[in-house]
Amino acid sequence: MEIEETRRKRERAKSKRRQNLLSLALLSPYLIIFVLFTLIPVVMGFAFSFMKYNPYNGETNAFIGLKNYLNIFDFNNPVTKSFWNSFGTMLVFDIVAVPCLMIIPMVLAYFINMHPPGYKIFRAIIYLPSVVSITIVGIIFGNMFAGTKTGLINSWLGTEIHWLAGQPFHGDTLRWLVMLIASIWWQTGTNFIIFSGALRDIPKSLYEACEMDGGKRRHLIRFVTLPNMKSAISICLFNTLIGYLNLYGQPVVLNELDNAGVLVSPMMFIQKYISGVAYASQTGYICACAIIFGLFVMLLSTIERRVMGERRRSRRRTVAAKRYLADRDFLKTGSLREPDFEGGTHDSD
Amino acid sequence: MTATKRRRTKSERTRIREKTVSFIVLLIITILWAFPLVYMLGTSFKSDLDLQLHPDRLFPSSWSEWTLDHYEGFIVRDGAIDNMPLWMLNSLWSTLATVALTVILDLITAYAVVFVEFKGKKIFMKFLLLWMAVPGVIGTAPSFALFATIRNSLRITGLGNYFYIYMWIILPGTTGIFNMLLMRNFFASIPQDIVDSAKSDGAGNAKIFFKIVCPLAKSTMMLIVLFTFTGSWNNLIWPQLLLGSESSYWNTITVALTGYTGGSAWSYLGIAMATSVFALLPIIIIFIITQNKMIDGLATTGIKG
Repeated sequence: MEIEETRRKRERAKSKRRQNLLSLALLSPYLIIFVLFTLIPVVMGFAFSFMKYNPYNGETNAFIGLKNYLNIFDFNNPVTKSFWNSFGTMLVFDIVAVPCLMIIPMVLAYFINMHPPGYKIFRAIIYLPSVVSITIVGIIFGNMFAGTKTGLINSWLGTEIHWLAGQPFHGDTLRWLVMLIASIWWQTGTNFIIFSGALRDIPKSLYEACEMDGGKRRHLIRFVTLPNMKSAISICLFNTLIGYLNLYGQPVVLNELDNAGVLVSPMMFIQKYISGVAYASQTGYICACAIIFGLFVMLLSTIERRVMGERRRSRRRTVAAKRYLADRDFLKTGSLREPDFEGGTHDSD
Repeated sequence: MTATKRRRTKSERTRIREKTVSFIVLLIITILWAFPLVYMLGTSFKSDLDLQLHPDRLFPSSWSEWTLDHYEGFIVRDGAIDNMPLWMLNSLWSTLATVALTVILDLITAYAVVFVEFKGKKIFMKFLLLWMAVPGVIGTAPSFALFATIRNSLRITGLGNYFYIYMWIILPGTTGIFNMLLMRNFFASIPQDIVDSAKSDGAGNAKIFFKIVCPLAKSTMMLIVLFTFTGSWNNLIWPQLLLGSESSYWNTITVALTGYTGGSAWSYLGIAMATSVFALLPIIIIFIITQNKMIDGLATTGIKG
């Protein structure tokens, strides 16, 4: 008996060890690449931000504490100024662009979900620009809005507007408008498809039930459509927000001579100061800027997740049905209250 | 009297009205959306004279103005191979390598996480989930410093330098956590019974992986392939940084085309458009073949999350 027992134990231990070895073998390629190319650079970034660091000249490297961070808030420094200016322009653009890139896809998805004849073709064409690279988007829109008479839009209007010229906050509104148009054209597709998938997935019975209770179209949208799209909205908002905080391609490809070098987003700022050997001695400072910017991105994305109640969305349909039943009485009596799908309070039960 | 047509019910009427309205709206939107691409295509066939005289037309103003001038010399120019095919090749092989590596890494890692018991699994997954919140921008400057330092200390030059740069373009993109979690979520949804019964029939891990799990994961693989392909093909920031100081032959097509945008470049209209059309062709071909799968796959991400 005892021998049997020990034999079994040993076998179990052996199989455990084998499983551990196997998992190590399977995980190691991913882990090695991840550590080398993702983890170490980020850790180094934190380390550099407390140092005076020059990758080309190791002798001057030294630990300088919080000096880089203090420099970021020293507004007399021209580099600091350009960092905060780029930050500001990016934020102003995002405040306009992100809502546009949520609402327009949502409206389009609502229409496509009515399944008009040929909706698959419409869907494909609206999604198509998403696979076009930003440089080609730049070539197309830059030439459409070219500042000379030979630009398409200018020749239509018979004007010679310099669409892409101007300095940030000084007469470059048109440039940002063109960027917005290009962004909408370019990136509506992805959110549009995700929204239409979420819409298609809403159980028909919920709509029918709402209709039976005398719900009009706006009630349907408010009490059935929007609450059921919450997880899709959350994902799209998260992706769009992060994507546009990291704004880079649009301003790089859509500019004119007078503002080609103006840094209008933190990514442009970071890219410029990393790429030249001339700024190599500033590496530590740039890392600190990247961390400040990164923390801001993290903060916004965390707020977004909290607000959308990311963590609790299991049993979506049950929850949706319950919520609907709760809302129904208010529909009947006609005294409508605010549906609290934003707060996610219903999800807790 | 009885032969009169049945009156449509209210819901039927609403449905027809809905379809008409949405058809009209979407038709207008679709025309707007197709317009820039049509403009690109039309302009690339215009002769230089026509570009100057009729900038307001989408297509050449008369049949005699149609020309292939701007497409000339894309493959062979002045007896030598042109930049264009080289840029395309650079993009193509690096993108394919990224896609293949990503899928393989995601498959084996997700398999280990879901089907193999090991110590520290929970910590590993928690760590990855947390890491998703860390913005990659923090690592950009150190990555570049690391890249330059290693190259200088190993004295990598010539063709070695080319592959070294492309290694740095390809590898960081292969360990995207989102893709890995997508695969893991799919694996976790495979009924445990299937795997258990295969195990009791004596199938080893290799057999389970190749015969059961991989065939089932086809649609998720497809989705990751499409995400990674377009993402990597259109990648601009990081390759631009690495390739910035190198010979222009080494550029990827996306980086190379920045030469036709911004600043003073707006005057080479015909050539810029023809180059765009040429560069867009492979993507459009892949899109036309896979668009149904791509769109359906994308549509489900909102639900899976």
